Amino acid sequence: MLMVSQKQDFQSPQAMTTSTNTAFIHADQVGLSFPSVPDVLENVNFDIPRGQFVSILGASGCGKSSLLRVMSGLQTATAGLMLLDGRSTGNARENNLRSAFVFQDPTLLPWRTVRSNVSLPFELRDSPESEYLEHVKETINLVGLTEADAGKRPRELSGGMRMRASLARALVTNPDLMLMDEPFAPLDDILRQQLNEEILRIWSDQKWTAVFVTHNVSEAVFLSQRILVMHPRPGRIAADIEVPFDYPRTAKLRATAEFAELMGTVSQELRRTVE
Amino acid sequence: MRALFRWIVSNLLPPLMAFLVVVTVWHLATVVFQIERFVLPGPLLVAKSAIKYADELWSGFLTTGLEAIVGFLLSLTFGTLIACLFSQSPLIRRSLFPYAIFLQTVPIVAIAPLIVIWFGTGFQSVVLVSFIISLFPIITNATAGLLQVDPDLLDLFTLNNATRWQTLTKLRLPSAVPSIITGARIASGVAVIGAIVGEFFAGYVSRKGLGYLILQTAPQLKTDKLFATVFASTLLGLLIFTLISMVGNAILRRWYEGES
Repeated sequence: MLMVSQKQDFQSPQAMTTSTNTAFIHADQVGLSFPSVPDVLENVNFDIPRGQFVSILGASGCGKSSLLRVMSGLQTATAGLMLLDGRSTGNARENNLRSAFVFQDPTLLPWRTVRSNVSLPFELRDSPESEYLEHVKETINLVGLTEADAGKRPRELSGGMRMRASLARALVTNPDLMLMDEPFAPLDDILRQQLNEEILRIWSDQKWTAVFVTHNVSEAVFLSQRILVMHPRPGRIAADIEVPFDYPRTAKLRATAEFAELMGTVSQELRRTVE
Repeated sequence: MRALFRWIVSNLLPPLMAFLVVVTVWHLATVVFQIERFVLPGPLLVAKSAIKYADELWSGFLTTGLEAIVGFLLSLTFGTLIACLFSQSPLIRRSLFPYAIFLQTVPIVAIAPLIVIWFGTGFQSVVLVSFIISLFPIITNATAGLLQVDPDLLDLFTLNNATRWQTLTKLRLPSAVPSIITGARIASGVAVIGAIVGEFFAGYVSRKGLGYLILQTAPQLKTDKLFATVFASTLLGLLIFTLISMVGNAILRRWYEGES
C-alpha cells in the first residue's frame, strides 16, 4: 500500500531525470559544507512538484533546517544545484518568486502590532497602504485572530496566537512556496494539532507548495502527501515515503488504524537514521 | 493613592533615612571633634550657606544644566548616527572604533586647553567638553544594540528583499532602542560632570556655572559654600539622570506594550 524507497534510489541522478522538467523544487546532488562544520548536507536529491505538501522529517542536527535555508536562498549550496521553478534559489528570490518562510520562533517585531507585523512584507516593497490593508485584515482573520488581536503587540499574545500572526505574515504575500521550519515545535500537543488542521484547510484553499520541517512523526503524517526522512551527518535523504490519505483530513484521521500503521513505518525509518 | 504611598515608602523612604543618618553623624562629628569650619563645615552651616547664596547657586544650576543638556543631546544625536555608520560594516567598525575609544581614554584635562584655543571660552566650549566625554557610552551601547538583532529577523528582512536602509530604519534602530536608552542614561550623568569640568577650563569668561563657582570658592576657604555648590552639582546630575530615565522608561513602555 505504501511506497518506501530506500536512499540508494536517491543517490542516482538518473532516477530523477524524468521529472526534472516539471519539478517546482529540484535538488540535484545538493551539498553544504562549512570549514567548521563539514558535511551538513551531502548528495541530496529530490523533486517536488508544484502544489505538493512535503514534510522533511529527521532527528535534531540532521540538517533539515539547513536544507530549508538552501531552498529559501538564505544559504547557497556548496555543491550541486537547487532550483526553484527552474531558476537558482538566489535568483528566484530576487525575481520575486513568492516564497514565504515561517521560522521556528514567531520572529515578530515586538514594537509593532500584529497588523503592522503582518503588513511588513508590503512595507518593505514600498506598496501603498491602501493596496494591502484589506488583504492584511482578511489574512489575520484567516489564521483565526480577531480584529482586537490585530491591534495588540506580540507581548500581549499567547504563544499560539503569536505563531498564528507569524503564519499570517507569511500567507499575506500569497506565496507560491511556503517553507516552514518546525513552526509548531514549541506549542503544546492540542494546540499543535489544531494548527495542523488549520494549516491544511488554508493549503487546500490556496494550493501553495509546502515544505514543512519537523521532528514530529504524527505531524508529518497528518500534514503531508509525502515525507522525506533525513539521515544525519552528513545530512541526506534516507527515505521518501508517500502518504496516501485523502484531503480534507480531519482530526478523525489520527484515530484510524491506517494512520497508526503509517506512523509505525515512518517511525521505523526515522529510528534507522539514528542507529 | 495607596500605590503612590507604597511607592514613596519603598523607593523614597530608604534613601531619605540613609541621608538623615549620614547628616546626623556628620553633624555630631563636627561638634564632638570640634573640626574647623574651613576643613569640614557642619550640615547646618552648609544649609545656611546654601540659603545665603541661593541666587548664585540657582543661576549656576541653570547655566550648568543647560550646558549639560545641550552636550547630552549632541552626543545622543551624533553617537546614534556614528553607531548607525558602525553597524553597516565590520571594516568601518575596525577602522574607526579605536578612535571612538580615544574619546574614552583621552584625559579631558589635556585637551580642554586645546578646545579653548580653538573655540574660545564660554558656552560652546563647555558644551563641547560635555559632548566629548558623554559621546562614548552612547556610541558603544547603540552600536551593540544595532548589531544584536535576532538573526531570524535579519533573515526575514533578507527574504523580503529589504534594502540596507530599510533594515536599518525598520529593524536595527527599533531593536536598538533599549540599548540606546541605557547608553543615554549613562551619558546623562557623564554630561553633567563634563559641563562642570568644562567650566573649570572654559567658563572663566562667562563667570557662570557651578564648575566656575567651585573654582572660585575653593581658594577662598569658604568651605561651607563649596559644599553647597557640590550638593547643587550632585542634585543637578541626579535630576538630569532621573529625567532621562523617566523619558526612557516612557518610550520603552510605549514601544513594547499596549496599544499604539
